[in-house]
Amino acid sequence: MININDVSKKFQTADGEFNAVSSVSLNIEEGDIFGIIGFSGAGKSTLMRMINLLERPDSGAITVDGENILSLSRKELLKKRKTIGMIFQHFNLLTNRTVFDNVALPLELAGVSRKERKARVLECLETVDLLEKAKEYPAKLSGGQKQRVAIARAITTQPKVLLCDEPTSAVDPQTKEIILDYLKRIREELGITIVIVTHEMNVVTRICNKVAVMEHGKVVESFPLEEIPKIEPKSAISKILFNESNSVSEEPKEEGEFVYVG
Amino acid sequence: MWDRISPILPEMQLALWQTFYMVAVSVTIGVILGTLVGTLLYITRPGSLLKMPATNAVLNVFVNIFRSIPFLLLTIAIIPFTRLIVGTAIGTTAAIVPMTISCIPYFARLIESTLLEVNRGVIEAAESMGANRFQLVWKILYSEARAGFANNITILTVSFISYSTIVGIVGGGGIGDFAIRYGYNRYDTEIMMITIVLIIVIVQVIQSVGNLIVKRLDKRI
Ligand SMILES: Nc1ncnc2c1ncn2[C@@H]1O[C@H](COP(=O)(O)OP(=O)(O)OP(=O)(O)O)[C@@H](O)[C@H]1O
Ligand SMILES: [Mg+2]
Repeated sequence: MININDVSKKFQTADGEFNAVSSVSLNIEEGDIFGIIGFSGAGKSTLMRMINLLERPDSGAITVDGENILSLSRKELLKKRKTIGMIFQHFNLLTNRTVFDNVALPLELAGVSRKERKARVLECLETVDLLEKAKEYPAKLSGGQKQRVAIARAITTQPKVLLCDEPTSAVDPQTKEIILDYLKRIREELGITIVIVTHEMNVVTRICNKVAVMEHGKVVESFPLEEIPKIEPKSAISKILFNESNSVSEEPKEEGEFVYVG
Repeated sequence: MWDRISPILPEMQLALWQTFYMVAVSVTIGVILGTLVGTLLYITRPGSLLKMPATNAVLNVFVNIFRSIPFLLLTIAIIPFTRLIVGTAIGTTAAIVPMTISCIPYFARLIESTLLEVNRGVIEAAESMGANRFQLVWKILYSEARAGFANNITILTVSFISYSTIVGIVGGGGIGDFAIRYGYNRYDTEIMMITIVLIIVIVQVIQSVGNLIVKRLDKRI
């Protein structure tokens, strides 16, 4: 579904160039819940933001659903982005729009008629069980509810891919579980491919089927989750992360477990 | 006190009307064109929606020039231009020209700074939805900044009631000119004080209405 091939990205900083992502290759298949884990500054967000070209890579190739996104014209890219939903750590809801109007926004931008919009918005709010909050403004919602609105908003245009940048890093552990459960559910119900950036191993072990470990702009290891128990971590960071994952799987679903790395 | 006011009431009413006329026209045009310039300043900034650094630099210079000329000097300096636009350099309508020219860059800066406060993350979210640039400005930036806009209009109106008191110099009339004629030229301090109180009341009312509208529009809390 998503193919990232030898992609690099440099940033100009005060003291010269900085390689945020260097020669990363990843293959994310249809239906995956693909985790990208690593410490802060590893380049996870930059890598994810290149999938919908919020950040343009300096070199390499990226195909999404069989289409080389780097060769798209601006107009084609805007259309393509409607097939790639995204949610963020800080939700990024419009403060002056009600929950309903927030969820309607992607449809409004796509020129969908008011009537069709309404039906679709209600459907999506139902998916995240927030129908009763439709008329509220985001400021009146809890963090978890805001993220659920953001999820509803991201799926209104029926995207094939959902990008999640630290979707549970600004909420408490209980809320985190709820949000992850919703993500899992929409993955099952809609068959959407999910990419999730996180610095917490328990997020990965809870919902991902594959994981890539990032450090200093590089993917140091990448494998399906079921292999984690038998795999011998090569990198120092994987060792740290996997030890945590073992403790999580030994005592499953301890309420309030909160592994904070980085 | 009333017996002091009643004989000059018609004159006072006329002065109030002139102030209203000058402020209403200059602020309306200033808001429309200032919003345009302010939005351009914002979207052509480095790292913003359009990569047009040259346009941004030129706009900035123009705005700074007109922002730095003291209003009294501007009024006199542009007399030839005023004559070109309205056919005369004297009178209330003529006074609207320098006021408007002063309004535009003033409001442009207010709008630019309000837009800069809009959360980058929200703009990014809309970009991820495939919003085009027009939509980003119209549906995202303006929506998020609407309370700030209302606040800016209030600030602009209050400032230009104050500015309007200066244009008596080109025969603009208005409540400020009225106060000067009585208080300064005729040494009638009482009338001047009454006029000042009147201006204070008008400004208070405008500010309160403005605050009310801002509160209505702002859903952040
Ligand atoms: N626009 C930018 N300009 C300059 N440097 C940047 C820019 N964006 C990111 N960087 C740098 O690139 C590196 C990787 O950033 P990135 O946001 O991808 O990390 P991350 O793995 O998502 O970290 P975090 O967990 O803190 O979100 C960081 O060192 C960051 O400072
Ligand atoms: Mg990040």
